[in-house]
Amino acid sequence: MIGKLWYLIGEGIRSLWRTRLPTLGSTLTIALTLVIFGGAYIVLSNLDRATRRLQTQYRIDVFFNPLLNNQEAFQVYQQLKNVEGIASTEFISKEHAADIFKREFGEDVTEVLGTNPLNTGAIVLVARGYRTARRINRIADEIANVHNVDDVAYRGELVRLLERYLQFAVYSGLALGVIVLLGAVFLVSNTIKLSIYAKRNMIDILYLLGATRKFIRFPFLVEGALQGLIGSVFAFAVVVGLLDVVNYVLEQFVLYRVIRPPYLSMGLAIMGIALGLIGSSRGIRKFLNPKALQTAR
Amino acid sequence: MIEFRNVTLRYQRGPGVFDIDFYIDTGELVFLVGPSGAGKSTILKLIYMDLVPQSGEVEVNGFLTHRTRRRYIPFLRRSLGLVFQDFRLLLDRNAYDNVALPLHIVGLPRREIRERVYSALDDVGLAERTHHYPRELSGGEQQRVAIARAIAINPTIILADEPTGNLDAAASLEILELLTYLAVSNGSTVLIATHDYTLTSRKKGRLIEIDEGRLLG
Repeated sequence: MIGKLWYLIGEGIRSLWRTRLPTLGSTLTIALTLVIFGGAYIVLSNLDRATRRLQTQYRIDVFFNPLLNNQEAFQVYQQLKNVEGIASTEFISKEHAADIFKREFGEDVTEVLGTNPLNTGAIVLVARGYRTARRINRIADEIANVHNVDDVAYRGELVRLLERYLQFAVYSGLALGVIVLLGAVFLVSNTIKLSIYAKRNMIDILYLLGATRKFIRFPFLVEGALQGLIGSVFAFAVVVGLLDVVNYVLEQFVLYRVIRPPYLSMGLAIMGIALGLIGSSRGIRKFLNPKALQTAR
Repeated sequence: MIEFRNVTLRYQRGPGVFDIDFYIDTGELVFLVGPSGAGKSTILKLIYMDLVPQSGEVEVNGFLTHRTRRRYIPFLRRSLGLVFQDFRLLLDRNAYDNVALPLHIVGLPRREIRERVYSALDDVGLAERTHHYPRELSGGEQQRVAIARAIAINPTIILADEPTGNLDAAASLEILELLTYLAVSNGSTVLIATHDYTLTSRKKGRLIEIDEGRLLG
């Protein structure tokens, strides 16, 4: 049984070489498809990274009642930690607020006014799972309702806008991805079907010699998976090459580098193998139905 | 053992075979003779269940056409040795690989495959041509490879469809000798379909004559 398995795997590998021209055609088709997907993956993951870097949009500035001293304010601050959806909090004492004022405006407010009128408060960062416009609103409302909280400030409108654009990008990317995927499966399976067509004589002979459908199909699946894997190597090389070119061009104008997302090579390989397997199992299907047996059954 | 019981098969585009009724016992040598288009190949296809009759029943080595599910047909074929006019060899594989193919299908161990392939190629006189590809062999040699492939699995029945159709007279005679010799030495049943009546006179075997899809006599 293991000997048979090795023979069939070997047949799949040898078949790549025996029908190298049609094989090259379907491998390049897979590679081209993967280049498109790899490019889309890079764009989406860079977009995601860019929005994640704009962390300030997920920050809520909380101002406490100006009549509270630091100790009273700290008690209010402790209550904020109970609000659901908060990643981290930072207490801002009157002195800390004055430091921030000095850093931002270059003036010592206590010296200028003779007293420190600044509110105590807190900086609240929203947890990752709560970074939607609606959830941030809810958190801000909840904080505002805490006793002795005077005011809350956050970039609600910016979050809403960003959310809308991101949603649009993701949905249109998904729709495009489904269309490209369907097209790719169709294209790959037809290209593979052509290469299988060249072997229909072999399939007939195998049937006559007593081969089962599994025996006939298996090497084609091995071949399809290998074509997918080789296609993914081509695609990876092209995508990485293109990425280098894009980064080289970007460096001339802006201080931004497009990063290569993690698992790109693995993702391409898995997708390539899946495309090859789907393509060959769809391609072989037609040739696994001996027409003759339909005569009287 | 092969038995046809009132078998009829009509092709959609023309005739087929009608009311075929015969029995071939184990170890028999039988010539199925008739002109081109008489229905010889159809009879053979019914035996290896490439076709299924519309009425009647074919029984081959205990496999009954109407009771044998499609997925079991390969197991019937593994007990048959098939030889065709156009050899049906894989052109991108050498003689060794062609003969080894049915043995891989059965799933024999590698060592046994090697022994059987060399033995079969030796039996047909091609021990020196093991690594030659079909295009490097003459028509007669290619048919010998096909015969080696057929006998390598020790079939109980050998079916030959116009095995000498593409060969000259001398090569035809050689192939006929080989087929009958191997059949007798292995105790296999041999059914040779041919339009060449002169060939049948060379060997002592039973004749089944067919014309326009019906058995004669």
